[in-house]
Amino acid sequence: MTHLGEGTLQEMLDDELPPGARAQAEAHLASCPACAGELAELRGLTARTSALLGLVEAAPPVLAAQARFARHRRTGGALAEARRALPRAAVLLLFVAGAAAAAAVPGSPVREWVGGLAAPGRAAEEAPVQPAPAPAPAAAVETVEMAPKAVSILPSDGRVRIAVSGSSPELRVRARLVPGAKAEVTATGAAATARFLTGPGRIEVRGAGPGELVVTLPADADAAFVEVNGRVYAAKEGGVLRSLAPRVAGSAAEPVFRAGSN
Amino acid sequence: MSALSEGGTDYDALFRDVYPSLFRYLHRLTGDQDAAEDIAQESFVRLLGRSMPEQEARLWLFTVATNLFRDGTRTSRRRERLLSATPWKPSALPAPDEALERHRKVDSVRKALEQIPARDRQMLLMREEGFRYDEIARVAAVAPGSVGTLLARATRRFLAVYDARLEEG
Repeated sequence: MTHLGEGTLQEMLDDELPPGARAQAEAHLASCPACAGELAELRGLTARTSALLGLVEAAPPVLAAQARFARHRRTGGALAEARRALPRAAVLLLFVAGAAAAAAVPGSPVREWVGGLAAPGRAAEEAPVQPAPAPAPAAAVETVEMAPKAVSILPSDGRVRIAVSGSSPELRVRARLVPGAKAEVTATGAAATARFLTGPGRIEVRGAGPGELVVTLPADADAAFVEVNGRVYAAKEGGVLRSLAPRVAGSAAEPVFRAGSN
Repeated sequence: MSALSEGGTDYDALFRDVYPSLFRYLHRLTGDQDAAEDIAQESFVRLLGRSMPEQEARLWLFTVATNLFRDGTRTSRRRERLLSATPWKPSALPAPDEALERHRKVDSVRKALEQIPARDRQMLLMREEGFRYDEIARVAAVAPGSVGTLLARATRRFLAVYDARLEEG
């Protein structure tokens, strides 16, 4: 019997094994206690690594960084564009200089072409290069002038439920699992129109606009989940966050959902 | 999936989607919040004017950020030596046991990340951010078929160093 390699077992855990290979591996595992044991060990090590890395957390300074980025787009971004455009401009200049020299020669086809371009009524139709439209000024950061709202609770009997309802279908719900016992919901941008209701182990968010809701579920809770219009979007499972709805952005560890996707 | 283009770039949406993940990756990679902020910012600035699909932009940002970190590491080895000569110490003020224990664990995780090979660290942190094996392979410059094996070994190495540090106390 050929045992499964460590790489194959890891691929199974990370859901990277193609379906056919996965079926073969599962069939082998069903009859091989050694490999099944190794898979269980690797699963434990992977979960422990993930939990330990989760301890190293710092709040990303998103708003400040986004404002810095927007300032750069308004100023330095234009310079960067110009630097990138330089080689193209140099090629165009060489072309124009070459054409001018050729056009100076009597009888040259280039001279005829240039003369044709200069004829009244034809220049605009036959100009080989349309001037590029002037670049629009970089838009400012689209922040809605509303202070973020945040509510936090502790689990009740080890359970936390975050329920979102009556929101804009364009509302983005970002979920994350963090060490600690506190659950928190922060509404930013147009989502700050939401009303919050709290009860034991429960936060209800109603009427959020098309901004972003950041839902922080506590790793210390026995059970924690976020639901939108009655459907569970993400839940704590073991030591990790599991997505139960299609995510539109983010990552497995920090999925972003659209409220209107159910 | 929205596409990035010079004319209609939705940089704001991309920033909102990717920045938290990129910052977290860099914070763990560098162990330094300021460095993480600076590298993340520089990566986004370098993205300006480029045209690519959003998912590709995410991988591009992580690749550029990783390269910036590598380049910076080469020039700041002396600074790192100076920093490591003055290791972090918990406050002299009395703190709850639980907080101290957490600080000790976080410190051990950071030290363990510093001590494992750079490629192991990078691969573990990218998996943590939800990247697929083929994406990890591109950034780490390894064969896609070897990612599973390399991740399994990196996991074991990380935990071995972490446990050893914790025992040293």
